[in-house]
Amino acid sequence: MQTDTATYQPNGDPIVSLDSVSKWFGNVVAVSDVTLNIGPGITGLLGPNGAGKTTLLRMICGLHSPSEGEVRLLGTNPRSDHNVYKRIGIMTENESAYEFMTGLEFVRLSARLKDLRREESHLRAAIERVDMSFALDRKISTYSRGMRQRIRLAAALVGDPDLLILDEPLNGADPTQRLRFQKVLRETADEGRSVIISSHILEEVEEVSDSVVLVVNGKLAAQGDFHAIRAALDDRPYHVKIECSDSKLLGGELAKLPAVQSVQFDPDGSIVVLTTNVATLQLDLPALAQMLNVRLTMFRPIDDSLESVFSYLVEG
Amino acid sequence: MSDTIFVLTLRQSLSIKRAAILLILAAIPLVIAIVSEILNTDWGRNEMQGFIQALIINTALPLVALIVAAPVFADEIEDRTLTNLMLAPIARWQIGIPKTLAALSVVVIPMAVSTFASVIIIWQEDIYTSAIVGAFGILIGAIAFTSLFAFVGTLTTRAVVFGIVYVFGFEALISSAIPGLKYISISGMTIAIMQELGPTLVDAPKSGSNAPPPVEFAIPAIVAIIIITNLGTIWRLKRMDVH
Repeated sequence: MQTDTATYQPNGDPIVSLDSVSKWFGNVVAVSDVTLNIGPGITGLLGPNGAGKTTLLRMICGLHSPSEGEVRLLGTNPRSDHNVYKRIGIMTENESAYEFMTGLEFVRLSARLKDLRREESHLRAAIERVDMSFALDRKISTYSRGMRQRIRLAAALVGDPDLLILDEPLNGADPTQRLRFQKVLRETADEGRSVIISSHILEEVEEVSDSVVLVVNGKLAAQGDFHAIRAALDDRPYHVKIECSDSKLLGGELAKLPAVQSVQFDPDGSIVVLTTNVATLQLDLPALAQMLNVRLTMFRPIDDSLESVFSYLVEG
Repeated sequence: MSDTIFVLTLRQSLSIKRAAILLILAAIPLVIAIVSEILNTDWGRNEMQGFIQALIINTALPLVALIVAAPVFADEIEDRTLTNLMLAPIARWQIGIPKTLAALSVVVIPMAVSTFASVIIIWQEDIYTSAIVGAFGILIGAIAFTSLFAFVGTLTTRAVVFGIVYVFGFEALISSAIPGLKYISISGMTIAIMQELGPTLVDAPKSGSNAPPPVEFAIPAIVAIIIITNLGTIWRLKRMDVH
């Protein structure tokens, strides 16, 4: 349908713009005072489960109205200007598809709802792109979770949208499907289109995103270039648990290392070290243990969960 | 696009299970008429009018409308498939009206055919005029009931429960027991209009708790119900948060 308009934004407006947006359900605040702009390219929306990513995406898509603030999608309010959906392909988190339809019928429905009376070959091409040609005439009720996700992606891709919004698209996908999904996203970006993809798995988004938006507890924790945020993450202090044959001896010497901020001795005999540089500690520790003739039995960061990473960014 | 939503809703409404229930309910008046013809039952005028009012207008029609119209939005909200429509570049009325119209056609066709045929079989005077009035009454009542139940389906996913209470509690029981409540009963309004058009088909009492409202009230009232409920559906589609 269009290609030259793919990344065009009137007056250089961002693709998505949120201004002091909040959303609450009764007494529960799902999103709190988020202000951000999302530009072209692939943007990862990251956050732990329950962080408010889906609510945020739903407000961006116009499925939820903000309790406060303003949402602009491609320069317009999606709640009132439904024509904006002609330029967008959206795949929501839930596996909502009409069970009685075949995969081809579902993709055709998506095309017709966008008023695209496309030739059958275009629909089949979208299905081929997500590797679902083998099941296009099967009822969706017989599809696995991963197959549903792929046919829904095909439905989102139909019409060559300027912007793809995908909420946890890799849920239920096996490793092969993940690679294919990521390939489709890169191809989409290479064609000059933009993608917003949400996930609670850092590495999943890291593979494909140019920039990230981090959401924790309904608040914007960080936003920007992925590498800058990675660098910020690298500076965060980690707690590392070490088990060895002589905790007192090793612990005393560990406290003298520049990368170590503090050392604690656990009742179980292990050492808990607070360090700002796990990589350096990983290099220095074996040499130190060898010098002291201490045998190491375990070395494990104990707060490496995504939740703790996000918490660090929020507090930092 | 509206035709796409219309066809989609027809397919949803005519699932095997639902279509079977719908056809059984719609066929009941016709089966009764055929059996009575075979048995040479001599229907009196009162029995025939009771057949039309109590069985078709008060019971079968609202039940069929309930089964078809209440899930039109409620099921899509519950199954979370409504997002597919709400993320389409179309105005909300282009979602609401085609869906309600599709439900209406599924309600009207079997009910009107069944009523038309039943009247032809059992009626003894003004047969064709009465049959047309019967089918027209079904159309009027069906539009109102379908619009109401579709609207309720946008408010709650328990629209069927509400509808059952409404049909059996209010339409069939309370509105007939308490004088004046027929003024706000869709069945009462439908009967009032049918009585005006075909007095031989419907001869409802002029007074008492079972008396329908005057036609001068019934026509604007039923039109108001149809307009308000359809505007309500569109308003809900505009305002709702879709999960």
